[in-house]
Amino acid sequence: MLQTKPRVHLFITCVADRLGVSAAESTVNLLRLYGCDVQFSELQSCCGQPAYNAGHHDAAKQVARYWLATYDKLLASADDYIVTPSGSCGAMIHHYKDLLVDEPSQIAICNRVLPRVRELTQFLVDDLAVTQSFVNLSSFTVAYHDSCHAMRNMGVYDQPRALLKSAGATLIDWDSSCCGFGGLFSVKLPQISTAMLDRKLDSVTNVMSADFLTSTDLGCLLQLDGGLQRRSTRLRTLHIAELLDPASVVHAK
Amino acid sequence: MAKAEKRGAVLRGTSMVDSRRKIACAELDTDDPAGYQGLRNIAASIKDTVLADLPTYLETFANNAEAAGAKVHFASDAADARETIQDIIRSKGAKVIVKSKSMVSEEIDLNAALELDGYRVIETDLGEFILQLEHEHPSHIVLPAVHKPKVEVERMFNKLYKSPMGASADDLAQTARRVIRQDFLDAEVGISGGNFLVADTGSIVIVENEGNARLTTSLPKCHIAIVGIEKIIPSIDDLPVFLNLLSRSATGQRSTVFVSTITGPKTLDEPDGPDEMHIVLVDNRRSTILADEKLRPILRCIRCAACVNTCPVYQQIGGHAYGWVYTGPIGAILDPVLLGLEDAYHLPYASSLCGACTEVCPVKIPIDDILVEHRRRAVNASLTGPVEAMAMASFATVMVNHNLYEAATRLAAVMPSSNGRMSRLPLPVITDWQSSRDLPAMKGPRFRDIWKQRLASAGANNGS
Ligand code: SF4
Repeated sequence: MLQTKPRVHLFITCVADRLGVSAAESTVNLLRLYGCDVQFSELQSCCGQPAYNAGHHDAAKQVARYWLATYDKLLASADDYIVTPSGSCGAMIHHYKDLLVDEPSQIAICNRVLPRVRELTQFLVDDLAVTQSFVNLSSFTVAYHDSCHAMRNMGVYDQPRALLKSAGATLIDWDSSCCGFGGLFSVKLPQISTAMLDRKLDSVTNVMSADFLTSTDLGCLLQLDGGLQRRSTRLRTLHIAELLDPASVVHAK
Repeated sequence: MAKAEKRGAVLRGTSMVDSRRKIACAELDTDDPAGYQGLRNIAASIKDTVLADLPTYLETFANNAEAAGAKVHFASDAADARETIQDIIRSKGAKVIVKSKSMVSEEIDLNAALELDGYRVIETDLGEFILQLEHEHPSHIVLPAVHKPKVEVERMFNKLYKSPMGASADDLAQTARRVIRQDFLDAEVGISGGNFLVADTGSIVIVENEGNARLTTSLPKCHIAIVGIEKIIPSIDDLPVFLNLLSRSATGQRSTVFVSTITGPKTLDEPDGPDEMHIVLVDNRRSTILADEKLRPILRCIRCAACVNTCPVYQQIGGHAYGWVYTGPIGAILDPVLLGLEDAYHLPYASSLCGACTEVCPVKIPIDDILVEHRRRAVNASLTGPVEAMAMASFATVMVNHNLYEAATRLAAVMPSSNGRMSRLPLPVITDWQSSRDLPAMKGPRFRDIWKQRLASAGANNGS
């Protein structure tokens, strides 16, 4: 573990702020347990992904500039980290350089800020070298869902699995296909989105059995949970921070 | 046919080939530079070298092909390509034409034109043969009939050719072969596609598993190959890299059963082959892609369909839903150029941007980035409508204004809910979501409220 207390600026994301409050709270608990100085600025909002993905790049640029200005001010030293519990939003931040390619002043900020952005499990495993867990998940079978953007754009694959295993969880070998969320895609083409979701859920409810579905992405969890609630199953979705946080509902006796 | 049956066939077919691809590529996945990732890099950079100087490579190819006795034609668009081919066929006084698989011939709608001219045109690839019987178009660029459940083909062959029900895939292929054997002998003209154009030898290369392309290009007296101008590779020495990637990515084979390298028509000392060989190089808006830096990587495509097989959207909706020749992710980035953005801008939106396509593309086309680029252009061309534009502008306004963000996220709490779930609401977006999924209630404190109430001070107590 690092010598000095790593300073972490949270990027909670607009989704977690409103719809993933306990995941966000567990993120704070977990980071503190692993010895971080955790900071949260109320000025934060969204990464701009909905506009970016939909092709509305003027709107996306506005949000990107705001995000960059906010975090550029927060970073007190070049060693500070920006950590998000949502891999897809983290991946969006890395698109800023392409998005703002014509604006040299923004690129300069990107060069300062972007290298400090981490997805939560990536930060814990890669930067803090976490191998010990504060919880015991040995009585649980967990299906981990790969967020496409966390996996493909941020390189998050082994880290969440390592954390779950270090907590003793039995991991199900779930395929890495998309859950069908895709932001606006999920409401623009709800039938296709749901067909993808059903396929993903069928494979874990019909073929395997698990106690929890988990992921590193609030968007995917919204989709997976939304579909599960319409089925009769004891299976529940939880953000990975909630599974690993001893103070969360899972571990409350 | 029942929709579900069709969907099942697509899902089964594509998943099977996709998992074979995975295994075949993993086999090469070593750390050395000649491993799978290394080969992808090499292939992408060879293609980029060609694209940086395409006219020169095309000229070299044409010179070498003509030196070997072939006649090379350049066709600027679909009509030009059709007329070129029609002229050649007319001059042969042909009645019967055999064809092996060619997506470019679908792109220029060749069969319809030839049939209108009164020729008998026979597709000799098994999948294409099946589709021709049913007057259908391919739904997939490599597995044209992937949407057809096998039992349906059995039924069809049973009715037409008395083939037994339960016949194996091999038996069905044998039956088709028997039916078209005479056509191969009768045909005056054979039309094929081409997987690669080799600049330094003037050869066209065709890969296949059935052997029908071999017959199509050698039995009739006249062979016409229709190939897109982007299919060029500089040298015959580059071929192994591409063959290796293509066969593994397309079907999960280490190599396809047949690889034909055809350099000109039959020479005097060769026993068989056509007397005449024509190569029609089709542009049809490929130059537009070439001139467009953001879209140019599309021209690296070797049409392996790995992106199609792995695409979770394609697997659900099948190829015909795309409405045109090229389907799946490659179709979603290619069709908006070939058809015009106005007619095809909806295709790039039919994606969750999961990036599975980009991950498997053997020539590293950034497919998901190009999907977003098409969306950007659709928005700039006002194709997506004023309501969405207004919604996005307001979204940005709220997200960059702290007070508005505070107000909006607080206001969200008025949405009615029960048992922690939001009630069903007749609101745009919400209704579309709730058509098949629940939404958690937006009641209660936001994270920022909890932070203020207890988390910030808890941190302070910890001495941070
Ligand atoms: S885009 Fe890539 S993966 Fe898709 S068909 Fe072309 S070469 Fe194959």
